[in-house]
Amino acid sequence: MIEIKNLSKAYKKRKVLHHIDATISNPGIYAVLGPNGSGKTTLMKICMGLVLPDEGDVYIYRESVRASIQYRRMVSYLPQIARFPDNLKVKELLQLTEHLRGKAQRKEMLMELLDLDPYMDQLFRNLSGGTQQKVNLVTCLMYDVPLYLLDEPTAALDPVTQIRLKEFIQHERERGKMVVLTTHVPHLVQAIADEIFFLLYGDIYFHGSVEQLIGAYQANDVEEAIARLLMYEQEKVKI
Amino acid sequence: MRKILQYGFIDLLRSKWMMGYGIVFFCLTSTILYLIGDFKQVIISMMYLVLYLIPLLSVILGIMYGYQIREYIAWVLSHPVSRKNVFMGYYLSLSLVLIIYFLIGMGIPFLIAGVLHSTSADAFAFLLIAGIVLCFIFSGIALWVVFGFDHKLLGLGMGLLIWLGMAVLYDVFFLIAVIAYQDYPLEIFAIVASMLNPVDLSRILLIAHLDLSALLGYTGAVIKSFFGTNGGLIWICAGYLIWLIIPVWRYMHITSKKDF
Amino acid sequence: MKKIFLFCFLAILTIKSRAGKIQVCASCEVQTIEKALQQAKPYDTILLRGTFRLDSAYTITMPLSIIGQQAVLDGQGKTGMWVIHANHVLIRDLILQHTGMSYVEDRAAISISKSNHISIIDVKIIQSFFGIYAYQSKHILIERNFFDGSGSSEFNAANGIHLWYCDSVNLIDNIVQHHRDGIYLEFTHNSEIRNNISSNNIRYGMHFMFSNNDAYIGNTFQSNGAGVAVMYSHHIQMKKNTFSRNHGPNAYGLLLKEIHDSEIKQNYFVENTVGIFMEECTRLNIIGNNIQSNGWAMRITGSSSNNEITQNNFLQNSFDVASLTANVQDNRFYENYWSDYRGYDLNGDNIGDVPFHPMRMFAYVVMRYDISVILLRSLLESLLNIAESVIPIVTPSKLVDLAPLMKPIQHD
Repeated sequence: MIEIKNLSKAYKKRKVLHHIDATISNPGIYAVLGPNGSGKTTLMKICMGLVLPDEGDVYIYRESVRASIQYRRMVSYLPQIARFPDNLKVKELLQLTEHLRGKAQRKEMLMELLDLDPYMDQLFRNLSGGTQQKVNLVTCLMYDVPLYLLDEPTAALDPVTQIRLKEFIQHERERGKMVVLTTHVPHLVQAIADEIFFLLYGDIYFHGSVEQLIGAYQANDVEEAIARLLMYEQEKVKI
Repeated sequence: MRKILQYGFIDLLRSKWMMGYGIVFFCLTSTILYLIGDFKQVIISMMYLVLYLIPLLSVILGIMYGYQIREYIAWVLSHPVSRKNVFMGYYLSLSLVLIIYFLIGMGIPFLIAGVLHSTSADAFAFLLIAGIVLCFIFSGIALWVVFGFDHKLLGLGMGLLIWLGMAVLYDVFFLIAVIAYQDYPLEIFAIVASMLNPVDLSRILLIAHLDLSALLGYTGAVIKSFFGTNGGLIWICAGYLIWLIIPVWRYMHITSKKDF
Repeated sequence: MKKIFLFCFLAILTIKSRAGKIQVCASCEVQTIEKALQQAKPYDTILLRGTFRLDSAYTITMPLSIIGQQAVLDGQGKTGMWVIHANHVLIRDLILQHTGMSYVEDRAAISISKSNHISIIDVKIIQSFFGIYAYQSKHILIERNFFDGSGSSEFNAANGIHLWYCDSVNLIDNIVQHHRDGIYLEFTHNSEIRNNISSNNIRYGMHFMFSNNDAYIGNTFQSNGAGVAVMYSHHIQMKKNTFSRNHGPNAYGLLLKEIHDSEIKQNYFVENTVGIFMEECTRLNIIGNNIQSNGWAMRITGSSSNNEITQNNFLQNSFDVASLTANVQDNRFYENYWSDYRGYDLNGDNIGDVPFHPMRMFAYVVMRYDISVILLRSLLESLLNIAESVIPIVTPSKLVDLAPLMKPIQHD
């Protein structure tokens, strides 16, 4: 359960988030959309305590992200860019993760699902970007927690893995989990999202289901709806 | 913190740069030992490496490592660990790896040559202590710079500038002050000034304990009487403590407020 | 020459000593030294045994041999022991102790005044003010004695061996320590000082003034307050001495002031504040010395000229040569070995092809601004020296060794 209360954040003078309020309390897949720099990643990082808000707070399972770190046991976060210590082995990174937050419930299963077993004893400096992203997925998803925050989960993944990931996420929803993800891929949103938050100008510009978004802009699919939304906004600016 | 330290340590220990740093020390020490032979003279020559090369390499390697940490720090911090523990862990792992390669690189050739059974064992111990403290101080400075400057090149430049300042420019200003105020008694000024710079402080510590100061006339006697005694050792520890605390404190402060 | 003389002198003494012996001890016929001295005839031998407490010094007025057989003379802090006022006196195998100090008289364990042919041998002088004080005397032999002044400051200590207006003195194999000056010579000529050890004296290990045609050879001067000072003298030979660990605010291995026509050969200067300090010295030959690990190897001031400095090893000194005066061209440095020399030798004749300038920029800075020595062994020191060697500005360019050696000279 996430409660965002009056949340503001600016980098230098650029306002990224401006008095945002939102609550997510039901299981489901929530897509956070918006153009580049609209604050999607910032919002997620605030939820994980990586970015400190200027104003307001976020409560995750009633714990303030400013004050607490224990709520992170109930959240798994997938950072956007996967980089790891160059001279650690994959195996060691997973050990480190387990030291930091305890025994993982489905490490082996995910290693197999993502074909990572051959890389267990390799150093990160010898791994490709795609493989590193897979490890990133494993460290995030191997914990059976009620809330997942996934920042661009499909970026840098091959198509096969993308499909497996999609299935995995849907499976988690069915198990009653909350999944919040940011993405640039409209098809993914259309395929799996239950609700959409569209961020624009530091505000939640649109909040509703996929159908409501498509309906509101009389579009055929999410991609078209987003395009129309943005064009409409540009027109407004011109006038 | 222990786990961050442990894995940070493993990671760094395998770093080729760090190994290179150890090998550089090993080769230089062995060469100097081979060429000079006499422990006291070798230790005097090694002073330059310890006083100037350690800060330089600590800063450069520390900054390079720091910017690497920044690439995955968000991943680390998303786990249920406090920032304080994470950043202290990385500071310690950086310092300890630098120290270990320094000890291996410099210590082994000396031990093989039998320094412990020579009259220079004390001086050698002081050399090691100075090196260790400088590793701690300059890895703190390196990380402070890394998290104070978002651009790697800027940070690297800043680190070099700090090194240059402490290694050379500080002394230049000191000399200018000495020339400008030559008519005044400057002993207290000189002592205080050399305590405020960790490189100078280490240099004075070594000079006072290598029996060099005794040979330097009146000023040398002042140095010896101040820094060569147990009371002086307390002052030196105090000076070191300031320099151990300030960079780490700033680094911890910056990282506690920073967005990643 | 001197040795032959000494041999004859001792031989005569031995023959003469057969003349008469007076034994002094608690159970002997003669129980006090006073009595023995009253009974004695010239060239008699007085043998002493046991401990004698003195209230005043004994004065020797005729040729005598005083020989101890485990005898201790104790001044009880009130008096010296012997005043020699006669020729041909031998004092031997005694322990003399506790003279106490005095500011009104030159109180010495043994005073020698206007007497010739005196020998002091195997005497142990402990806790004395002056050890031996000799004036206006000739042909004195002081051999194998031990002097421990136990002095702690210049005010409560006097000199171990003090020679004033003497001639033909031989100081051999003595050990002198904890005095003000270990050995003091003033207006004392034609003398030889050989194989003595003078250490831990408060001021100078040896102090040497207005004394000409003397030689000192094979002595060790160690850990003295200010080292050894040789002043206002000429025709001095200084050979194979060791000057070591004379360090302190104002210390020298060897201080030379207004010395001319003298030789300083094959000495060893190690760990002194200044190895050799020269002030207004002329025509000195400084040859074949080892000058190692000193603060300054040599400091040359004033108008020192026409000195030759060659075949020396300058090893690991913080500063090699320092001189603030431009007038150094008359001092010739050549064929020395400098451990700081970084030149090359293409023709392999062991003489470097590039001249060596032994005075570095930093040495100049330190001489001008004493306190800047705190920058010793800093990167700045090296940078200043490099800068100066590229563009010489302040250091005297004529202070140069044109033929520096590539390898140190092996001295024995």
